[in-house]
Amino acid sequence: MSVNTEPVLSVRDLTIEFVVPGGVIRAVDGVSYDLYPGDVLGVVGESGSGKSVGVMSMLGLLPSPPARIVGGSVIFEGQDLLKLNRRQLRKIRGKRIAMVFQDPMAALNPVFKIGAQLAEAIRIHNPSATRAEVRRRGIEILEMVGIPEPAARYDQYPHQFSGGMRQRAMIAMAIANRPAVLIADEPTTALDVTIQAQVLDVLKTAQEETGAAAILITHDLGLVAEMANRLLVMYAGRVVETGSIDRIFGRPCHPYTVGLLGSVPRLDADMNRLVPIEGQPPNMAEPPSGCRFHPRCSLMQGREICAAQVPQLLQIGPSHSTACHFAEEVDGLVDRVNREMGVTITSGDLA
Amino acid sequence: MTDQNTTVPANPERRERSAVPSRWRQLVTSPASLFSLLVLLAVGLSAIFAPLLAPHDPLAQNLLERNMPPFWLEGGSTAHLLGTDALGRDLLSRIIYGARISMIVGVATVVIQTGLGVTIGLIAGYRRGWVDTIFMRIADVWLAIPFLVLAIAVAVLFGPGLINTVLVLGLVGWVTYARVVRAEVLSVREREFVLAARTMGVKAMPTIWRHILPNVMASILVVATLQVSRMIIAEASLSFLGLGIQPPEAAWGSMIADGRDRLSQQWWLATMPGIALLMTTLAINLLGDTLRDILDPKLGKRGARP
Repeated sequence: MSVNTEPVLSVRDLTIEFVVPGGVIRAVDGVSYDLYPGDVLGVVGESGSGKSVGVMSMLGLLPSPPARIVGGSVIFEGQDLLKLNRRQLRKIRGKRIAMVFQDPMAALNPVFKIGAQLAEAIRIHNPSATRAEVRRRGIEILEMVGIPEPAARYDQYPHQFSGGMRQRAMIAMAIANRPAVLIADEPTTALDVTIQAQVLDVLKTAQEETGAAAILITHDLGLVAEMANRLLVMYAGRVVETGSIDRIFGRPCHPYTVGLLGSVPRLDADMNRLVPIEGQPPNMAEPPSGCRFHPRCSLMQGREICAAQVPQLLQIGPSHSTACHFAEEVDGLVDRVNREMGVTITSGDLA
Repeated sequence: MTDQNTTVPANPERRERSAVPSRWRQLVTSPASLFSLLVLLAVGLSAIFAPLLAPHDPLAQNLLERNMPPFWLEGGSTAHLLGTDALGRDLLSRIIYGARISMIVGVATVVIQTGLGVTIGLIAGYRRGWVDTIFMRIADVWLAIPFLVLAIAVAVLFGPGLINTVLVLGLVGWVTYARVVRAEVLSVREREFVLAARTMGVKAMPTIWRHILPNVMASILVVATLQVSRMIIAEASLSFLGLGIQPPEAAWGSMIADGRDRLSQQWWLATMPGIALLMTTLAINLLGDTLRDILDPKLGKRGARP
């Protein structure tokens, strides 16, 4: 987690567009971030803010057309992932960078036993392993993700698994080759609340045991608070705020982040009501000019610069950057939101 | 499964275990499919054990016993249960041997068609783009030509005979599979486990083979079953027209053709192989319907609640 080490994944100015009938949609617009070894980076934002598209693109998993990568670079272990050909990418996928998907039922092939799918994941990147070795390793991983009686479960089909266990199996497949980066795309959205915590534990343990850095894509701030140590807030394809969890939760410096935090119930403070963000997410075919959040922003108050000029992502503290023309006024906004919510105790630190 | 498994919460599993056989039980409990199984068993056994079952040599002529009617008609004899044809050949024996031809043609052509059609369908559906366009336009053109006309054209080109008939029918019939499989692949390839497989670094061919094909297998099975009966009829049609199996070989189609001129006097000559053909194809179609019900849970439920 030390900032002095080399980042394992370095994204610079990543820009992705979708060509659709009637225009071009810029789904990701100049996104940059670094992922350090052992880091868990939470990427939050509303649906359509470009959270998933960004990570899918670096693995070459976006169908093209309609998607096209307009610019930027994704440096991973010394090479630019965006410049690799299909074969080179395939060697990285699943081995160095692995992914856990949202819906474990959909992401497991219903006609194969869990073990067979796990074995496939192992064997692709270890072609010389014998059948027995693969099986032993598979059962070992199932045990690691907390599946009871892994040897018996190894020979069962996905439909014989409960939702939480399926997601554990997915996590098992993702960490089978000890990836350097683990990407979890809404890993608990499809699960019961009671199961979410267990799966999170497993994910966290798996991440810690394999020493992987993780990217956690979600719209669940509670999840981020629990899992991540750094946060990237996206709005309409752009990064609006990034920094350590403690910093952002304690002192958010972008009106959108404040809005997000205001829409989540808090347990650490008494509160009477939630304060939702007014308005709708923008139509990405015709995004608002300037700061894309300005039509919904309560800080704008008719000031022209918000609609005219794109705010730069500027560092405002140690490992904390925000893209707002009036970042220094956000503190006042926080107080206002807290008053509206009826929060009586303001705890500075959630995490 | 071992005893230790009982500690695992096994409820969904147990339900599933009893549910699967009960659906397959339809095969023997539904009267239609029981009938078709019995008919197909009889036809299949006839085809395999024709030399043991047939009372006479199907090619042996006996001019003294020409044009005999079935045994229950006047002038019939239990030595020739279904009578004899104009050359004194035993009709029953010829029908039994004819089953052999029909089964060989039905199964062999379907194997060829499936191989060809499924491969094309998988590739077209998975690759999409220009590969898909080319294959599907060829399929459109193919479909624009009536199947039998195309088969006749190719049969004339290849010449008659068993092997050629199989090849002709096999090459002509791939379109049905290709279209069905392609349509299914288009939907399956978008499912997340295919994406998950790609994220794990699985190559395109193994993805198609291991992750997509098994998920379209049910449709293939149903199409193939129904196609067997179509191919048996197609072979009979070609033989009827003299382009398929050649005399003196006993094929149902050519037997019907032979008996056609004598319908007014020796009606059984065309009728008996006709019945055999009808029963066989009917049985296969009924079986195909049952299979579809079993393999498609949504249809199955609707069928169960009238």
